[in-house]
Amino acid sequence: MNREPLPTGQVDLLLLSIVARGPAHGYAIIDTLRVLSAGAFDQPEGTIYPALYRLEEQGLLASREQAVAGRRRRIYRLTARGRRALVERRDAWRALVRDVDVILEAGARHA
Amino acid sequence: MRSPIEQYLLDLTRELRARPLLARRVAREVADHLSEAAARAVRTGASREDAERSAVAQMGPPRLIAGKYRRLGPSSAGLLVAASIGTAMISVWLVFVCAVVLPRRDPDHIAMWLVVAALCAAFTATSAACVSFAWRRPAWLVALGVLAITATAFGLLAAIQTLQAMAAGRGFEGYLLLMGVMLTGHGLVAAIYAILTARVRVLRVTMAA
Repeated sequence: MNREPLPTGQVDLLLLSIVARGPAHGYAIIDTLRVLSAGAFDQPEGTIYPALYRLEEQGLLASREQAVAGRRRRIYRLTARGRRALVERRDAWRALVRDVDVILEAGARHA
Repeated sequence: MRSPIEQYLLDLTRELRARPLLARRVAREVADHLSEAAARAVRTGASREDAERSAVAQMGPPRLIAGKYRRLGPSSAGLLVAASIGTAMISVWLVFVCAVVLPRRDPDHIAMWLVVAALCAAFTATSAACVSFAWRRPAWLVALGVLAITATAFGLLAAIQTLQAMAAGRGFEGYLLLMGVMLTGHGLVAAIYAILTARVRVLRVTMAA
């Protein structure tokens, strides 16, 4: 079965979800996204950094540079507002999937 | 000969030159990402050169990444251009005043105001040059910094003297206050832009070394 690439609009939800697991730097976030999506994420990795910056501008993420294993790295963490947004967006996504499934199932019965 | 990662970072900071503060942050973050990706590939047996090429290819074209940042709001270069337009208008207005108004009202100060008009024109031209082609050249950034400090000082002086004259009952010359405020604003924006761009230049020199 061919797998479609992840829709760009859903990348924000996935990023919030990954950072909700714990504070992480950009490389780790992208690595987790690649592993968890099992190859479905195939956008250029560099496009994730503007998305992280945008989420930070929206107050959903916060970041600061800190020393990790002798290197200065920017670490992202979820804000309280980001946590609320994650719950809302996750619920909206699940509702959408449920609604689409209902329609697909109904169609399949008549196929 | 620059390595693929060094060349990539130079290209990326060039693409982000309109946002010097962001360019510095992004360059450091992307440098960290690329070095980790390359180190991982080297551990799996790739040569250093191939590992860096692969890391850079996965990152995506610098223009694509810079384009996504550009959509996120106005840049400091955009602010500098907007402020420059205001200063250019002041320059044109001063030349008009020197040619039409002052010969009748105050001929002794024509030369002084023409010098101010010329400085405003030079400040506008230097700002435009630094935003477009001269941002990598230290001499232009120094010139922008010097003109920015001069404009800020002159603008503040003009604004303060106008307000003092008004307080002393000698009338209110709103156009002088407006000129002072605009020059001060342009001066501050240009000074910040020059400092941030110089910091990016230092970072680029460090990356290319």
